[in-house]
Amino acid sequence: MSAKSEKKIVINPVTRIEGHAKVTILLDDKGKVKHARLHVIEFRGFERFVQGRFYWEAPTIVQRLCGICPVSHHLCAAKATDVIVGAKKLTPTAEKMRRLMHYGQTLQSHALHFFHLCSPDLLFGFDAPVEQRNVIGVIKADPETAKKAVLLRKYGQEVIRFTAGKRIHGTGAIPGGINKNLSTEERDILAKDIDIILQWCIEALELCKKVVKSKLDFFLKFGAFDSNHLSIVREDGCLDLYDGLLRAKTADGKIICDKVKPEDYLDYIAEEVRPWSYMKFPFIRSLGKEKGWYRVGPLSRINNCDFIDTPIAEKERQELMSLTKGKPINASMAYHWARMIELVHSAEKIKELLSDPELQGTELITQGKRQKRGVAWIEAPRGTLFHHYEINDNDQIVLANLIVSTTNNNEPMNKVVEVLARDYLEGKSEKEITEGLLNHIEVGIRAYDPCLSCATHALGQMPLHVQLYDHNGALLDEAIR
Amino acid sequence: MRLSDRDRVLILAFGNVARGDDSLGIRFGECISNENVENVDVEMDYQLKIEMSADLLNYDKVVFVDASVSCREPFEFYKIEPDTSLGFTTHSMKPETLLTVCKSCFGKTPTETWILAIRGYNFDLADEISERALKNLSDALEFFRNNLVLKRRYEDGTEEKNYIDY
Repeated sequence: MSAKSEKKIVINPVTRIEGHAKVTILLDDKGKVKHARLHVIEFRGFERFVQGRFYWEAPTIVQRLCGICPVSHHLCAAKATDVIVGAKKLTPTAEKMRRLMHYGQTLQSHALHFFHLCSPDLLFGFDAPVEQRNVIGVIKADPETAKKAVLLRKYGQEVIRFTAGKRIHGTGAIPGGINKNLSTEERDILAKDIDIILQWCIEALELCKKVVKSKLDFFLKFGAFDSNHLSIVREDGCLDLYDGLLRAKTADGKIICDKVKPEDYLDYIAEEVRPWSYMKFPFIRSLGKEKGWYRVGPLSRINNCDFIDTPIAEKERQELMSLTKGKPINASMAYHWARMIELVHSAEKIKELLSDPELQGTELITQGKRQKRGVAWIEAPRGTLFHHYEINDNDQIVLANLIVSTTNNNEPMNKVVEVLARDYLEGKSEKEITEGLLNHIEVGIRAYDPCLSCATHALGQMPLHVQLYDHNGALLDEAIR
Repeated sequence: MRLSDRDRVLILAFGNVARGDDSLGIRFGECISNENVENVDVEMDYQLKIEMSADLLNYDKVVFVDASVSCREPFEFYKIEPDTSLGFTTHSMKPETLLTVCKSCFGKTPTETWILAIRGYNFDLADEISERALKNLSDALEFFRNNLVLKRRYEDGTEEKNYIDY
């Protein structure tokens, strides 16, 4: 290929994320990045799938949207249907059971991402041999840590099973409350291991910090770019993963909007459709499409909150925020550090809840005046998740609008691809663009822990396929792994 | 697969019931779960996850049941061993990789592990399963009941034993 011709680099699919996505990078005849895009090539269509269903089915049905974080969808749909049944305030037992379920989900999700999806990059290097840079490589290098990671996941799953009722298609949360409390036997099983679980979470955070601090300057610059940050926070400014009001900040920490209620979300958030991706591009209305896009997820939550109400996580939050003297951190790789702080926070919260006798309460459901519209949000492991349902007189859903966490991070993920393509691929010849170099792009995307899945995973899926095109669209080279 | 009275068997069925024929594994698991088969536990989930490696430790024989986009009709049943090759995502895992994790982290695996892959055709969003897939599911269940069920206890207390050597 002539060094002076335009070339298109395709990474398809992106690995160690959930679901199908591809990256295209178009370099001009001088080797400069013309554009870099993350394409989502799987159509969800789930919003239409739930139309016509009865609203009380929503918390169960929406779990099928994603096999990775079904609990987040389950709880967010339950919160939206709380509004429909007029349950303005849940019973203490119901709210605490739901919180316990949510912290269990966050714990196991964050543990999986750190140990099994991103740690191969952090521990072995971004351009380490691909056969080593995976979960099996991590297990071979440090089987004891890998075992702890598996058991952390298992603990989180046990919390979910005891609160949701079963491992799949859980029915724990229902409109207006929950359908079971936590028995003393279940509490004792979970309480028996929570101290060691918390200890392992702290060790994971320390491992993450050790790796990041060893190359702090590199990690703070890798895939860094300014953005707004959006998340829910408790009314007093505390980090709250289950409930709160919406807050958005600029890259330098100025408040864009605060204390926004769920029912008003459309006044603040709009979505743009672009022809080359099935995933929409949300933005803050008042700032417009160009300037209104934002990050969500662990980093935005830590950036946006004023404090954390568990002691170890709060101390760790202060240390992370001291890197930028309290201003928002805009480094993509800081997601990993923030995620591990939330891992510790989740374990602390689980411990706190397990000693609360209200989990054994028997008042499980509240109801009030029926509504036709229900909107709710929750901080899913990957970021803010919105569920909006409208029903007819027969209690059937006639409108569903879901803005999932990864959709909120759509523009930032495109931005990180563009930034890293400029930093690592620009001016390189075809021979110089190695698999390890392309992995730098994937490392940037993985920091956001995207989940593009509809939980379809039948045997026989495609491996990674990288293709290199010239400016006429002719395939010059390809590699499969 | 040779079963004995002492074997503890796990059926690990997975799939998404909102995805048409992707529900084959779950439908299989639900059918077996509803039958009173001694020594056989059934677990169902959306997909294989790394923590399931710890669940495998409690069993002698494990059968993974999933829909397949490409296996021979109506189903394939074959033995597997630990394998370090990975799928493109480790949010979900291949059964062979799960065995490797089990062996590496906990030092042992079940003595025998098998895959029952049932051929599916339509994996779009749908509650219904295709007619062809339903026929394949029926054949797979019949095969399992006739060949792999060790002991079934009926409500009237009678037992039916079926020592098999597959």
